[in-house]
Amino acid sequence: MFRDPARKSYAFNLITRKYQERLYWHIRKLVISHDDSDDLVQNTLVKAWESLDGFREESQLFTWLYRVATNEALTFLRKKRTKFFLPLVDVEAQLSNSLESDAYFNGDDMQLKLQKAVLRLPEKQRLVFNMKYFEEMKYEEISQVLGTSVGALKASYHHAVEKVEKFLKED
Amino acid sequence: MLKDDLNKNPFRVPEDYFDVLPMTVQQRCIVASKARQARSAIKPQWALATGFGAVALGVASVFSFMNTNSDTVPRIVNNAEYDLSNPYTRLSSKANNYIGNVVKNANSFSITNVGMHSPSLHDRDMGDAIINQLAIENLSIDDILSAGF
Repeated sequence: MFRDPARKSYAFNLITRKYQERLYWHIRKLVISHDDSDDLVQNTLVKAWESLDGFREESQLFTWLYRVATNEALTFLRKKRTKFFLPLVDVEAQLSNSLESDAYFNGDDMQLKLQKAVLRLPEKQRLVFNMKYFEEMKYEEISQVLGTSVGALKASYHHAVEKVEKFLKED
Repeated sequence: MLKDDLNKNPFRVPEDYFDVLPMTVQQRCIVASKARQARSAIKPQWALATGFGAVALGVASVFSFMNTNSDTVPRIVNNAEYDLSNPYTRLSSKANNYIGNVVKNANSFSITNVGMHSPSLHDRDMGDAIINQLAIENLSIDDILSAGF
């Protein structure tokens, strides 16, 4: 279907409509800002368009899209860190501060606290926590996206939950 | 502590965002495709130009290397470059003449002692001939040595 130029555009439009929201929210929870998420989700989908010919199975495409979206978001955060010579903690602190002034955040105090707690997690644990807790993905799916074993993901999620609960109690 | 209702999405997006996004992405895909086509069209020409550039650079390097080396090796002095105002070339010229004369004199001296020079030259060694010629040419040994002979 993707090899036929006439149908490729139509097929891609369907793919965009099907996955755009999931990809957007996945990125948004990592980079927080709507504008940055908008850029990154567009980059992800343009990359998918350029590599569409190589895909045959839908499941493969979904996993690949998620992986590209994750890499785009993490690369963005790393660039931000390098650009402003900030350590990891400061970038996350910056994101945490931006939450309060974000016009597109309408969570209550508890949700704000939870988001701030998640932002204090290490990169990998934050990814696993977001995908498991917020996006309710199965460990097998997360494993395919991140290329990590299910056992390691369970351990990461367990540590992440412990830390988040500890942060919430502290605050 | 982490209740299930806490995992509700607290973020919002601008109104109609997800309706507009596919069109925005489609626009960007068209631009990306055109850029890709332009890149692939330029690619062979670019590769050719790069190849020619590399060859030209190689040839230029070889010529540059040859010229550099030729400057380090003394060139044969032609008439135009034979500048007698230069002390070195002037002295070299004198020394060349001197050696030429010594050789000419030695060659012209026959075994029968009949020659244009004194017969006593036959009994002297070449050292004497050299000293004599130095006197004729009004040159000192130091002049000869400093001229690189």
